[in-house]
Amino acid sequence: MKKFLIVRLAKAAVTVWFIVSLVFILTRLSGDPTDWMLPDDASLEARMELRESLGLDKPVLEQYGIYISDVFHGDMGKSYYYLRPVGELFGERAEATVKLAVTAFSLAILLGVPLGVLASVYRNTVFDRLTMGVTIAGYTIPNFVLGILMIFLFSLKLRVLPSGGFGEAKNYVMPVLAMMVGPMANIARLTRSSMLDVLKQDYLDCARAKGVVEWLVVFKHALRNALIPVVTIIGLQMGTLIGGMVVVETVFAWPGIGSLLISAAKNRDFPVVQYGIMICAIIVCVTNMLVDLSYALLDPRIRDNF
Amino acid sequence: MNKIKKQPVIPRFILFLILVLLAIMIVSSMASVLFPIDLGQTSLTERLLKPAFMEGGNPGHLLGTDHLGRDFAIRLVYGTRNTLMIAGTGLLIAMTVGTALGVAAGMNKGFLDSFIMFLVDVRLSVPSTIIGIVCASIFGSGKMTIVLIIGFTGFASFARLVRGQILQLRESNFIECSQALGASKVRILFEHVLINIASPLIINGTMRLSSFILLESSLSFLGLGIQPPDVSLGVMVSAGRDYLINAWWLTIVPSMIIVVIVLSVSLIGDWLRDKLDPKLQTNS
Repeated sequence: MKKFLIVRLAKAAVTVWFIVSLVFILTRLSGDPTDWMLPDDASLEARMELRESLGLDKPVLEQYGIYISDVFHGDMGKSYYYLRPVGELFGERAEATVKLAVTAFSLAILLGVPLGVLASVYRNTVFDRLTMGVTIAGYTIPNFVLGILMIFLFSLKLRVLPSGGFGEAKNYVMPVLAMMVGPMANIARLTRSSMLDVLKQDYLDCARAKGVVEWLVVFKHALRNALIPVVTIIGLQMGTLIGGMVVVETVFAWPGIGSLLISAAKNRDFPVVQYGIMICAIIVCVTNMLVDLSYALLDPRIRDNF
Repeated sequence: MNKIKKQPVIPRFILFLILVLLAIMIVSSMASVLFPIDLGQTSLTERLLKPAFMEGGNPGHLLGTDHLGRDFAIRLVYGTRNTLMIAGTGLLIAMTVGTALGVAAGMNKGFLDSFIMFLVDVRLSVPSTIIGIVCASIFGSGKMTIVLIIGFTGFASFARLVRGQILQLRESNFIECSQALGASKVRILFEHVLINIASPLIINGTMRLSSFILLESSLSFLGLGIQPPDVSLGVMVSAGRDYLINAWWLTIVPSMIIVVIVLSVSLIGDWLRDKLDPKLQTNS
């Protein structure tokens, strides 16, 4: 177990380091950022001064060394655009994003898994077909289209929900929906197909013969054995969720990290973009690790092999 | 004896979807032949005209005009063409790069294999939208960038698939026979391996195409993809958003076209998978 953890942590660290370095090299290849930070007629002195203050006057290799050492000290540099420490910028906006993402992710799991289970139990009924139809729509309708359709319907036509804003519960309804539908659809579909494999097995009849009530047979005896693929797909949805977050925050003018990243990309604000991609990579790597660890929790056979 | 009822080769519903998709592709591919106009040309006196079928609509403009007085239907055709072209070109790059890397990894045990799989893991640990944002900030936004973003985010699933298939095929008898008969590696690759992995490749390609279309429209919607006056479906959704109150069709129509295309492509992909290879499970 310990060995497994160490190997996985090392692998995750190498992955994150690789991504951070790759992005660093690419940003340095793409030209001098002072070209678009200063007006065309800026004096050479002003340009040199700005380059010096950003540390761009040093050789690239030295810049890289300084950058990596700063990263290890938790200093991600200053934003070129806001001229403030990147960590601060992210910190201010983290709350809005985390609240939105956690709500959407929990709801996607809490609704997706039971929907999939019920669809598998009532397979080939109207309920099953309806659920599967909705899930197909769920993963083919892009989240920005869904967001705009909801704004059109609920904000402009029915006037029941605000199209933007942040803070109150009603502000969350549409962004959360737009973000959770895709992951929920994927989770429900996979839960269904994984449950269908398990529901065929004989040991469930044994449980029934023992007198276990049907819902316990389904949700305890069957679901436990169907969970490994479900947990895998839940882990994969983390990436989908992060990508969706950026788009949904733009649609609803949500004051979170996603909209910060978009404006940073348009302003070529490299430190912000670099910090963003590093955090993403860390979140995804940690999620993958947790998924692998959960296998051990779910399956005693895997646990013994650790 | 009961007569066995013959199943149609292609179910009617799938046939319908294929025809819809073909129609969209043919019309949009002829955009510049059918409507030879300059996309940048505006006509401010004809701003936000209503579609012909609505009350007070202008019969000269089937779907009305946008906020700069450009014919909306014509822009829609161009937008669809650009979206499909970008996703299609990206798919070709992703497939070629992915297959090449998959072959290289699958045929060579050891360092090369581990390194390529490491690259795949690296790619999969950052969501493609985020990769798009980073690339757009570094290389600037535009058609080429988007094609490259799609190509180099999409390669991972192909590389994994091809490698997995090759690892299975390597052990099979006919490859061993061919080796025993003295066939070269290249010959085995082209004559046996690639032909045998063609159908899972095609299935995966179809399934990925819909996600590439989504990626293109999302990035263009965010303003990081195609830049005005050039147009794609995502750009149109984004531009129409400000006029949702008095000209809803400017947003809703391109949105619906995205949904129709993505839905058709993914349903056709699902059907192809079940038809050609029931055992194949595509993940990621």
